[in-house]
Amino acid sequence: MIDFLTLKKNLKKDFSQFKKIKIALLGDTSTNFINQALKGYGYEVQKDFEIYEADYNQVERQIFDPTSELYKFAPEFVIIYNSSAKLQKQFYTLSAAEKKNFADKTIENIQDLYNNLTSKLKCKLIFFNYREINDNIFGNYASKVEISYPYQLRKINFELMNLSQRSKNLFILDLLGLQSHVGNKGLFDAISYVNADIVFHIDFLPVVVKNITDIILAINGTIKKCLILDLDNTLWGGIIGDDGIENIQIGNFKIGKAFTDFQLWIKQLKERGIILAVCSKNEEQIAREPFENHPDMVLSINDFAIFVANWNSKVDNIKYIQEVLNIGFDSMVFFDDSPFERNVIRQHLPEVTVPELPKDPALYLSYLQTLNLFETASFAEEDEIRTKQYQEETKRAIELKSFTSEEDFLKKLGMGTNMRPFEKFDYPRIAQLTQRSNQFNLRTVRYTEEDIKQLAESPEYFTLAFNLSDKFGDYGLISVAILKKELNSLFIDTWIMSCRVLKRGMENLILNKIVSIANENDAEQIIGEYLPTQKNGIVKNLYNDLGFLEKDNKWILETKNYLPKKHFINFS
Amino acid sequence: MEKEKVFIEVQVIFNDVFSDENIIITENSSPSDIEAWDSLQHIVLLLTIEKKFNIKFHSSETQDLNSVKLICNRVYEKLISKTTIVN
Repeated sequence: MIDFLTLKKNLKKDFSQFKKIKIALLGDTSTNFINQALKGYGYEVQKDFEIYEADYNQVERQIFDPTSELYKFAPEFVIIYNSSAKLQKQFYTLSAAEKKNFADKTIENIQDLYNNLTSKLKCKLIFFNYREINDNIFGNYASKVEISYPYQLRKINFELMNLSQRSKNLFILDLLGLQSHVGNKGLFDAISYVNADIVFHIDFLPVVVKNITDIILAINGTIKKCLILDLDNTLWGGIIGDDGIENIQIGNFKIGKAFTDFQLWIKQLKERGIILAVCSKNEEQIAREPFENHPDMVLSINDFAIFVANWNSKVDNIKYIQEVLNIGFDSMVFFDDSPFERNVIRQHLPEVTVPELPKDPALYLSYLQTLNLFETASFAEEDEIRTKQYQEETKRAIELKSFTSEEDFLKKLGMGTNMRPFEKFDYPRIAQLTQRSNQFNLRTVRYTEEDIKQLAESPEYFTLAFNLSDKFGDYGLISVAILKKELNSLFIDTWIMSCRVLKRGMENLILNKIVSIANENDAEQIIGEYLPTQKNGIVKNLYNDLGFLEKDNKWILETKNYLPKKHFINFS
Repeated sequence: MEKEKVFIEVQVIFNDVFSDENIIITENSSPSDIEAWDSLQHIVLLLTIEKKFNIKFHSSETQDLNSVKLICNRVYEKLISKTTIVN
């Protein structure tokens, strides 16, 4: 991990080329070092964090006073760090009766802060949970005592999770989880706390600001989608080509156990929605054998969206995987036990995240789990079936090759769509689409579930969600459009489509629908806008291709003479 | 470690902590000579020195170490007492 002084040195570097993100930082202890470290860490991820640091111990004033500096600054993110030490002090002043309600009261206060803040300002709140402290007033018996600090503290931390599940724009920074990695000694510097009201150990600051940054980046759409795995000495011990299936190490015996546990963890990632891919230097048949025939393997062939085993360079193979899956290099993580392969990938594909792996496989899991490689800002149940969708896509790609014309192919696909305004059960998936989609995304506006709810309920907006299925399977919800009513026109605030359904005719179908909504509401024009990012070049000419005309950086379609566009998708 | 070597290491730490290669310390340097040396940077400075020399300052002594001379002397004393214990 990068150290605090390096982050501090970054402060003198040039941030002017980076995207600006406004952040307010509030706390009940000194936040100055967090501020410096966070700003400096921004340089590492090429972001210009513009930070407003409130004066010490001003959380309530800044949030409850509508004229405060916080609201003048109008940040996208508000970070609140209230320390467990201060909480404890507060707790100690209470009567026994008050202690009993301490957790409930504290949660109520936090909820007040959140409601007040988010009613005045459109922002996300990142709130630290509380470091574990066992004051040993009651010893181990504290669990049995409702008025003990450990009991109330743990209740607060538990209820904070519930609060964050109810409050879509509240994100918990899991300080407690970090404490479980570095220990209290690694986190808390008692001397700096006594001398200067600084809680965090200087070596812990980079860890904490990295995690703040992880949350911010995930909310802004930078997330990992795919994990690429080497096989020999990564997923099992030994070399399958040399040692044979009987001799590779996996299972419940000694070092085999480390690989089994590692695979179990990877399987959980897959179930969360991370796509798995194999990239191995091996004969394909031999590489597949353990998955097919070894009784102790946790992962099976079906867990992988793509399986690449050959003697080409891993750079070429990862490029190939990138092409097939059609996702960015920056959303890929690569695990390989070989330092050589890791360095080759780092050098040639610098956007791919390549963590070190410890030399001893027994340490793989505990090390990788400290890195927080797969931060996310959303979770929808559909995530679990993502691998299946990518496998179906591979089949479609093969079938497409057998047709001479694309039109024939599209007709034979037997596509059906379902179209509806945003409905409650769609909110998580829609919010996630706005956060994850980078390519077919005209304006790249990111929305939270709460935003989506408001848009869905607003009379000012039309919202559209589209599903698509074909004979190979169900794509699920693949496109959303958000249309804003304006005087005599409709403005396309958001139009996002999953890249998996490009060139299926959905664009045509969706535009037909937008035009019919315009007609029903006497809108003579449809106005589109393309806001370029590094990744959405794919839709640069979309409006042009669909017949819009450019005017003052906007794209205009007159609805009067519109002829419905052709497609081969049925309505279901 | 000799006293002079302590001073040289401390010089490097000053450049590092204040991200400024142009800071040249003397024995008499104090927060009033070095603009960036405020109370917060003082903490970073001492934490970095602790790490570098593998020593610990007592919470009561950190505020008093407000010159290069005092810092170096204290580091030197701690190093000596450490070696004595080891021997």
